[in-house]
Amino acid sequence: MTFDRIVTAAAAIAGVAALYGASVRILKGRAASALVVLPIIFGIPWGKRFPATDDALSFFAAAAIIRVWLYAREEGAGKLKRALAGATAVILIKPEVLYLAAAAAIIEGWHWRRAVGLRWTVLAPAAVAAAGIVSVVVTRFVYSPGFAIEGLEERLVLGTAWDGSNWIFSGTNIRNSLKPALTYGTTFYFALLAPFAALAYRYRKEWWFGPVFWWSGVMLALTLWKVREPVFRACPPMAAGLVVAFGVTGVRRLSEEFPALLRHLGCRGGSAAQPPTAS
Amino acid sequence: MQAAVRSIVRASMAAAKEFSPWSRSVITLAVLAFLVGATYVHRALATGPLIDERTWVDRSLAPLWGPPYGDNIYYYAVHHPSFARMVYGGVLHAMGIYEFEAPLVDYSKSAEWNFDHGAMVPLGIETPLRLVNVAFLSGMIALVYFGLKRILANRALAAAGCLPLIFNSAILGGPCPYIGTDAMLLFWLAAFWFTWITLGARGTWGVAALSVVAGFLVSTKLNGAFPVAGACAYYAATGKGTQRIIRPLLLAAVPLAMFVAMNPIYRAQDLGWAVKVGKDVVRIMLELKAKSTSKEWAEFTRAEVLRESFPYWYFFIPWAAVAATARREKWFAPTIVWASTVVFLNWALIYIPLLRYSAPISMGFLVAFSATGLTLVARTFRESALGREIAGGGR
Repeated sequence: MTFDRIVTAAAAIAGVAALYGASVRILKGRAASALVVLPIIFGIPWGKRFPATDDALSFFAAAAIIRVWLYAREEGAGKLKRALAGATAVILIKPEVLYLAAAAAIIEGWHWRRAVGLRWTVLAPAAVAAAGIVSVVVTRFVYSPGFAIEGLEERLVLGTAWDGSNWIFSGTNIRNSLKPALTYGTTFYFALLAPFAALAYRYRKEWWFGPVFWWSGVMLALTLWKVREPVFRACPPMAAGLVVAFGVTGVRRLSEEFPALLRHLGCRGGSAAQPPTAS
Repeated sequence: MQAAVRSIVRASMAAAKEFSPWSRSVITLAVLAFLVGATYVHRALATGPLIDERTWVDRSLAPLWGPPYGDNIYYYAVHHPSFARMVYGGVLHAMGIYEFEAPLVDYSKSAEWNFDHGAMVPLGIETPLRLVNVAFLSGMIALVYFGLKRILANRALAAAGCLPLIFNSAILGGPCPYIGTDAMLLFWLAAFWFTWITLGARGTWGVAALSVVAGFLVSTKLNGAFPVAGACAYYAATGKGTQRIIRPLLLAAVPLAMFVAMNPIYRAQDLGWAVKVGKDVVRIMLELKAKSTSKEWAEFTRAEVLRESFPYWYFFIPWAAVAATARREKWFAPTIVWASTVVFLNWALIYIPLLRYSAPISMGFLVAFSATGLTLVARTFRESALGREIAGGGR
């Protein structure tokens, strides 16, 4: 096994773990959270002999951002600086998630504006942006100055959108021409969005709703905007965003419809409008 | 934002009230017809020649069963049930075409080789046959629309529920241009669902009507039997007294009788002959599967077939939640039994996720999802502040 493949698998596992952790924070149930991330686990091409380290790191970074974002919302203004440090660390590993992290910093800064004051409301996104720029221009500049500066803006957006089709559809497998995935993948999930939105509407005042749906929405918007064919399976950050956001909502609704069944899955449910630990 | 939404909803409702219910129906159907024209008709006309078209012209012009006997005649009679051959044959005869002189396809050679050697159908014959597919798919949309309108009691929502089918990649790429049984199968699947939710609960006569539709369904393609089996199980489980036996029996006997009536090869000789023909149907299916899957490009695992033909599985939790919210509605059980049998039994049957094989799976899911999902959308709107305000005729 090559080093590239080890890093790819490690990043993918870390991404799944971050999403599982985020789901556990919301649902307070391990089995139910495992069900939420199950489609993501099956969607990752673990057996591919194609090292896609960069793609897997993008997936991990996108997943880590929602974990940090939920931490910021759950722990409250007192831990905002710590969350900011976490987001900055993610950006230093993968600067292409800057737009996503910046959106998180702006929204969280605004959410906690009364507690932290105007200075931190402005400082939070500025710090995240600075970390991203430093990461791209300084650290990448050392070994690839031209690449670091050229197309910077494009790279930052594409990093979050991530057309990972090299990873998913790698090789010259003739069977790909028989697979409907490409045609299905571009738009098939559009038909699901209105009923899923109605499903999610009920939980709009719960503490996790804002971070999860902003996170998912920003990735969806960037993907639709930038990727030529936003194939569902070839854009794992977008796919994970939709699967987790609506998966969590689905479990919450199922726990209301069938409380006994969900208790067996270890889901305690009953999320409040604000997290219990918020300061 | 909220004010803008409120204004748009109010303006839409005020505009709708300017028209009578009849006019609103006509406008909605006209919009759907326009969309069908922009999608199904366009795709049927724009798609280039397909490899199987030549054989379908040949089998539509051949007698369903009878002299002159030959290998092709027997193969055509047992490969698929006769309904599609009768329809295409009727259209060709209406056009005055009783014979077609062009080489048959050599399936051991490539499509290009066959086209170069003239094994293809000219536009003058291909176009009307593809428009037959469009007619059946339009019928499917109409049935889904009327079914959803009955469920949702709202024209706009019912039309919205048809959109995923009108723009569905599997339907557009597969049954729409492909001359074969698939477009008709989708029509009869929709007809079976519509009849089940409208007449299925109206006593034995309703079930008899359902069994007639089932007869056409199984006489179009054999996997049409899946929802019929589901309906038999449903009536056996939910019926009372003798109805528990009579209704499933009706649903089995009437389609079987219609199938034998529409496929004369089964009644050409005695019962032993009919059994032999039935065995040959299975043998041909297994041979085709063995021949296809012997090629490296056609080897798919069950998980791959699921992922390619039913990508909606990624969202199994939210769609289970959406379905759960509608579980107490009268139409829910028939719709879910119908959809489950169509989706999961077709998935279990197919071995290559071709678009036309995936189309019934997509359709089964999308009809059930639209019914349950749009019910939830309507309920959520009614319970929202804006919905309550409009219902109460308030500010």
